[in-house]
Amino acid sequence: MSDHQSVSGPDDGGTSGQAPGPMPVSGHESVSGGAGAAESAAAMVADSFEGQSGLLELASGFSRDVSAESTLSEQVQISPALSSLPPAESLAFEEPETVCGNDDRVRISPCTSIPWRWICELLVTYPDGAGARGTGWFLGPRTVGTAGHVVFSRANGGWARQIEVIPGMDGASRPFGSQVGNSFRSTNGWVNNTDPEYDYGAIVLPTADLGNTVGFFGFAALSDASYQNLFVNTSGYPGDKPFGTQWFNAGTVTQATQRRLSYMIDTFGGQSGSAVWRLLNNQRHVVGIHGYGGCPNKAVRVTGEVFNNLLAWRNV
Amino acid sequence: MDGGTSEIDGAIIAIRETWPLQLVVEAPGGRHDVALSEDTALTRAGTPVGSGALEVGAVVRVVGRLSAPHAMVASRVDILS
Repeated sequence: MSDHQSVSGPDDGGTSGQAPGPMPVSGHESVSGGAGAAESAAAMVADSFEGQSGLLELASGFSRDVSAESTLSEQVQISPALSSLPPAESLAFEEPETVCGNDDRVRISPCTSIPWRWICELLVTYPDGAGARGTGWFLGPRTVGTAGHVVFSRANGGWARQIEVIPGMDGASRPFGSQVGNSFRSTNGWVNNTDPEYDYGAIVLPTADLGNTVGFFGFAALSDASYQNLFVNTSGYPGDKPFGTQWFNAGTVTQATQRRLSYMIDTFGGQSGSAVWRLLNNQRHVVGIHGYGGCPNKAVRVTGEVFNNLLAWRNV
Repeated sequence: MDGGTSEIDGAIIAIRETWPLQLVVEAPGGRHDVALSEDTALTRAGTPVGSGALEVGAVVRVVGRLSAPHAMVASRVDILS
């Protein structure tokens, strides 16, 4: 069994090593996310991104001067009342461990537009009863991508018991509602070897209602050369900020190894599973799945094998 | 596993960004997965610290419940260096 072999959570009969069928696409073929119910039918459009750099999302309050890596972004309106909220309110966690240099994260509010509504707060319950929070992103009508260690934590008893998925959560607001998933996917390399190079997974929801409402990201496997000076974006639900609030940051990939990406983009606990995406020609393709802090922070790179698994999980 | 209390000393080699955090600690007996909880006490020389004090490379003593071979849920993490 290869480390990328897809494995499923207990809701699928406890199968381990359940393999996806052969994928009719090459590893570098890319797909585009839908923009909601009306556009979902046009999803899975393949693009080519070889050798190009991406753009940065533009969120109000995010300074390209502060983030030395950033260049261009996409305009997001944030109300003055929300943008003036104080930073890290928790006395217990006053010193974010993976904010690299200046903390230039900006809050996203409201989270009802693209791409923010594709991003989900995850409320996890593990078999030992422990609760945890992570971040996910819609990759298909009923599939939410995230880190492997969100859906499967060996220390907490293995596969999550359940995960509540809340797209576009904005403080107390749940603009699209939520669904509870208890069917999960990850890889042999993560579940059996806790290998960080294979630390990615997915939540399969009971219905396609949410994904067809909010839409979903595309994803792409890029060549090594494509990562040079590649600008990427990430947004998630960090634990040092008010509960349920989404925070954005962006920057440049500083290193791309065979299976991982490194960057100095500010993140914090709670953002495991966040999409690391490229914006190019108004298309958003996830190229990494965030999971690790430490400056540089790290993501699993979407390689051809990862791409094939994500595509199989999208099509469940 | 019997869930008994266990203690390991080692270096943090990875920080997984769930909330609460998960740590990977390299100890003489091998590599351990360590899940923190909302109730995990974080200290440095007995003084409470925030999670920002947890860094890759830091040497820590972890006390907690062994939940699987080389895996535990921490009740206390003391930063030794």
